[in-house]
Amino acid sequence: MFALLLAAALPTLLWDRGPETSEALKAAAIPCIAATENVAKAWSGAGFCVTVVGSEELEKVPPPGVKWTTRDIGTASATRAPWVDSNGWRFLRHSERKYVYELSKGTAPLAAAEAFAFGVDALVRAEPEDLKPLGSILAFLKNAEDVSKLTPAANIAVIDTGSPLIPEVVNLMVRRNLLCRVVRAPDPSADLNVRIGSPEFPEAEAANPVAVADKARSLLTDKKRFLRIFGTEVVIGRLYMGEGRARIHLLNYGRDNVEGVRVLVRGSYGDVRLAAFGYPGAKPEDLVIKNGVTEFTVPHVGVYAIVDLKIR
Amino acid sequence: MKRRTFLQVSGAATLASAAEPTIPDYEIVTSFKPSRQPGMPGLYPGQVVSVHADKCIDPETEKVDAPTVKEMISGGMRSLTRAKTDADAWRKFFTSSDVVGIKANCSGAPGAMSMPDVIAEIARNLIAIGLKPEQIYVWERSQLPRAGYENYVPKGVQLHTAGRATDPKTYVECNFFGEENTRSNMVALITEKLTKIINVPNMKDHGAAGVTGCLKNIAYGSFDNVARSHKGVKTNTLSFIGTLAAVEPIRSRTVLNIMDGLRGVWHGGPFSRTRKFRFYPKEMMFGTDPVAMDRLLLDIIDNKRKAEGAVSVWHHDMKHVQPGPLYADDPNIDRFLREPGHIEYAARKFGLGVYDIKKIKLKRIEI
Repeated sequence: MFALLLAAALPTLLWDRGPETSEALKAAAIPCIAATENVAKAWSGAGFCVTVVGSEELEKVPPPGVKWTTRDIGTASATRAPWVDSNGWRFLRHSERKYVYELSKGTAPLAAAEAFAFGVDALVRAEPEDLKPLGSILAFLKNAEDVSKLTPAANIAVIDTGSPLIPEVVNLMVRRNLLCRVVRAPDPSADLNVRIGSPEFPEAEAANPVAVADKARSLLTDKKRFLRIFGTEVVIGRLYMGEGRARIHLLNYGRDNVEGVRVLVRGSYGDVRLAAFGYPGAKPEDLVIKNGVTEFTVPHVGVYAIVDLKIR
Repeated sequence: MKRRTFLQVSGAATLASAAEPTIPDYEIVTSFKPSRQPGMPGLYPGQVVSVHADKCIDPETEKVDAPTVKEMISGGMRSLTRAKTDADAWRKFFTSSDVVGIKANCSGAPGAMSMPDVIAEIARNLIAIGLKPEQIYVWERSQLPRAGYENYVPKGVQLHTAGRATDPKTYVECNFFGEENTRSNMVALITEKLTKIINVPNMKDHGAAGVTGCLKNIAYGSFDNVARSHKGVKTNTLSFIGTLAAVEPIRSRTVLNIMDGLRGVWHGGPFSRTRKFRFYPKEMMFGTDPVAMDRLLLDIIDNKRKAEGAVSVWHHDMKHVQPGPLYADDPNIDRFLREPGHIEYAARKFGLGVYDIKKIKLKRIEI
């Protein structure tokens, strides 16, 4: 049922400027950087921990975020449909790789949180004006309780046959909070195996990844989903579970804070604790535990929030 | 008042279609219990009072004559309740300790909406029987600022845009088209503050529901995430409207319906982007039975459409259905296959009122 254990590493700032910028880094409370060998040498003795990286080992990923498109269906108020740009599908396919975010202004906190939530080793190349927000989120992530014994929860196995359709299929699964893992062969422990080319998922139909995600959801049924998120189309969740505990990462890909996110997680967790970035002291609201399911409301999701749950 | 007559309206009820369509699976989650006398169909099932006043609105300027509106509401309420005074009529439904929500309809504002003079007069009547203005909320899901109620209602009456302030524990869950957010949560104002609701729809055509009257206004206006029930040309308004309207505490707390037909929309609703589809019934309907009132509205809208040479709200012919903006200009084009059968469905499935027009007692008043 669960994939291999993944320790959530803290992302690191990839910095190609010299020690003349040390004050800016100190002001942002960023004590560690990654740099190429030449730059790293210049930083020796500057009081920072510096990791040397070679660019050849890094896979570049774009900034996470959301694009909005108009959806006019003649309803009383105009609606806009979000297209979430998440790197989750990349991370699920190749969690062993090292990534580097090439970021646009304002996206550093979400990028750092995304890498942390998916448990991948990532560097973040940020603009100088993003140092403070990046430093803030890194401090927030560092303070999160270590739950590295928990494992990613996913009851859909997507069989990576090498088909060029797979990336977009996994992308759609991630965007719809259909918790999946990518495997090389059918996984009997999964509640649903998605194999492009099988009778359930014929190649011709798979040309439309939306249809694959819809079919997977329909076959799995919502009742069997480990995690559901209501009240927003731009928050993606990651769930880790084990030993009577669980952690939910909530990543807000939208530009604005989201109010009143309702979260459903399978399992009866009497102890629910919230850490919402930008909202110190926020608490989960309207907790309901019923029929083996726990529900609660996260009053505000800025860029990111962590919910830690325990069976009491 | 020139005349009062009770009419037994005749005419054959029209059914949505011969074949019963597939109804989605709904899960209703609410902890609220029905009251001993649920507001719908309420104290006067199957009874409707219609008040017509020629001078209530000037069709040229669309200026409303407030004294006439006051007289219409007074006559309608006293006739419905058989009370001698306005205060006695309103006390049939409300006490001074109630917190009352007035559910306006502003989705077509400013061209089509529950008129500010109507809303203000309702609020004044509530204050007259002892409610403080602060105990009165005029609410809408959105679009409230476009209606300008603040310039009409007594000082202290609260204007409330529900937005996303909903109750996480009271909802209807249904997967219509594979949408991820399958819940429509009830507006928190209803579950947390209101003890009674006055439903004030506007007489309008509706491209998806057929017409938008009492049921549509209280159903779609009391929950979030309802637009998901339409996709392509298909709409689930047939079953969704009644399902939502029957959820407690809405069903119990909606004790009075006042349909504003001073100005209406006979095509293009719920919007009113062009004046050419507006008309002026100069009428208001009063009742507790939303089904009976909506059944009458169906004929009002359909008769007007026939008079204008437009296809009936009952058509299910794809040649009149085209996605895109054409509907906004052509009264023979719709964006959805309309579901006016939602009214009959709400009566049959939930007992929300009397649909058979032969059994509806309509009292007409002319001012």
